[in-house]
Amino acid sequence: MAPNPKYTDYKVVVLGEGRVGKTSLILRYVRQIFAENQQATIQASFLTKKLTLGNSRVQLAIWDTAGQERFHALGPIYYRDADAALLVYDITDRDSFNRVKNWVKELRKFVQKEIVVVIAANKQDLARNQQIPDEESQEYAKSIKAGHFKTSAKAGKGVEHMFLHISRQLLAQKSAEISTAAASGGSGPRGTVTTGRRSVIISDEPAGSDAKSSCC
Amino acid sequence: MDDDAAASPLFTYLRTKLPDLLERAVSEGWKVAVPQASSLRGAAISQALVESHLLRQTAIRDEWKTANGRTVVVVKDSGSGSVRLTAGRGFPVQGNTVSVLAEDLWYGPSSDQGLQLVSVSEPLEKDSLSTLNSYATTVLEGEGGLPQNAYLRGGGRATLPSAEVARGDGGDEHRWCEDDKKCLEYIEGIAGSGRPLAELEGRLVEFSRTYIFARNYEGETAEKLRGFAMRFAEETGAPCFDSAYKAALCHTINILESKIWSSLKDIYAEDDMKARSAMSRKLSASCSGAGISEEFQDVDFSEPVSGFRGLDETQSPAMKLFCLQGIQKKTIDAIRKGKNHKGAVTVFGTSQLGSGGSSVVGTDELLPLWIHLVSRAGVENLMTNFVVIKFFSFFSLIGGGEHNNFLVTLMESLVNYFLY
Repeated sequence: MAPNPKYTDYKVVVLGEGRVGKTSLILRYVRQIFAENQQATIQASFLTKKLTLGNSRVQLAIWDTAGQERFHALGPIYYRDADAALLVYDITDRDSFNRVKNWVKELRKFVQKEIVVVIAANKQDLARNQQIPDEESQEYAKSIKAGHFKTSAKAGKGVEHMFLHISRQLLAQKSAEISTAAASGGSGPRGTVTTGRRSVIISDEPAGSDAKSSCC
Repeated sequence: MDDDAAASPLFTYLRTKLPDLLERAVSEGWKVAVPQASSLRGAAISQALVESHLLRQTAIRDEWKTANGRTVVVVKDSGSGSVRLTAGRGFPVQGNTVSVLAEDLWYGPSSDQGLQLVSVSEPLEKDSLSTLNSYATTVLEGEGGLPQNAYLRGGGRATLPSAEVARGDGGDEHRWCEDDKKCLEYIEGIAGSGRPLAELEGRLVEFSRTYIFARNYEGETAEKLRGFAMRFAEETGAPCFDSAYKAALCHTINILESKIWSSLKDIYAEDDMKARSAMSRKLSASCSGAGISEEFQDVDFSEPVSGFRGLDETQSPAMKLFCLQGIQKKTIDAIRKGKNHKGAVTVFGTSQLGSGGSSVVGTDELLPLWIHLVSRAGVENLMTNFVVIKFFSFFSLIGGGEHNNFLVTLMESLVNYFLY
């Protein structure tokens, strides 16, 4: 389907080690009601979700990525033009949390624009086996000015709230860009007229500088 | 398909005329089944109709109750994965079934609690069209005002372009890319297209004779071709500029596809050969050399494999992209067929396939699987195919939009995996 001019399109790329629940988070969010006990095989590498937030309409294109170490080098192909990055780790797996830190470094290095960054502490339903204390991950998220959410794709906990936060951050960022462009006599963000897809002003500032430090 | 649930007449009525009911629906986590606007054309919207579409879950799996106490049953097709709602007890016509098309989230101003909007093909109430109330008609008249005012040469009113073309839904672009005759038929049906078409074709002949392709300048070349189509659309001054532009772009690529394909094949011959060698090594290393899940190893993937081979068999960039779309579908279908005899699986459960695998195919599964399937197919011109699709299928213009972008990116990761 062609871009819908009534919606602003954003690309959200989901990063994280294999088996941390990236795909399940996406599916839980996009097919919230009727997917449970789904009997058929589902394609969930790429899904879209439309939201209406007051007067704003947003279409999130949610891109799943391959988390296996051997595909690590392919990461930039997926996140290079993303508007938001959702970094997922499994609270029962310390390595997966360390990988999140690597993703953050990489995003800073390779993405030459401001993007919204959010960390999902997933598999909260397995809290009894938690390896990374909440304080540690929240502190880390705060240090990189990223949102932090405790989620369980299995139980449906925190997922909708997290994507709502991402959407609001994207809209806030867009609105700030429009204000900046208007103040400098510009014509607003590139690309909005012809494609409906927003482009982000290139900046050397750290990503997600306006993001809330924690939302849990 | 008009899938804008938040702007649909039924939801607008709920939002503007029944604020208390809306508040209750939000706070109690109900869902709203929103019939697509075209199914409500001429229908009356009343509080009763809205209440019949507000759903709250009951203790019984897959059974929902409407706000006015009627029963709705969720029916899932395990084969196709489609979901339908069936009107049950309390509805004037029981057994009426509607398809679930999409699920959207709506948030009121400054509210953190979302309301789930479920787009459905038709109203759950069969007799809703006969109810008296003029509310919906006025809203609907302005919607879907499709440009049916294209004029044929000679002044006759044309039926082209269709709604899908005008909205860019991609159906006609597929036909135009597949058969240039159909594309030309459309172009010749546009009033005043005679001279601009002759000029366009003149430019294409000139381009074909003189233009030399160069590595890493494909973007500029594509831009030049876009320019030809844009100029055609401007010169005709067609009422449906967008459709005229798309048709001219399809025609341009149809004319030049052979030159594009052969030029790029020469340029990327070495990369294609390198990729083929990598595929052979991958296959000979071990049957699971690409790291595909064990549960996929006894699935019959012959259909997607021949799909990958098909990439080399067409020169048309757009048809290659459609081929890629088909491969993704065939891959999922193959897994589905392979899994049927092994029993059901759950999405959020322990992801077990019989005794070991997920029913959800995310990129963790899809990428290694496609690496494996491309290796099996032995795609002759992987790099060339990628460049042709990326730059000359104009995937943002034809049906599929961002999903096509995803497929092209997936193909780019295959190329990178084999080459670098």
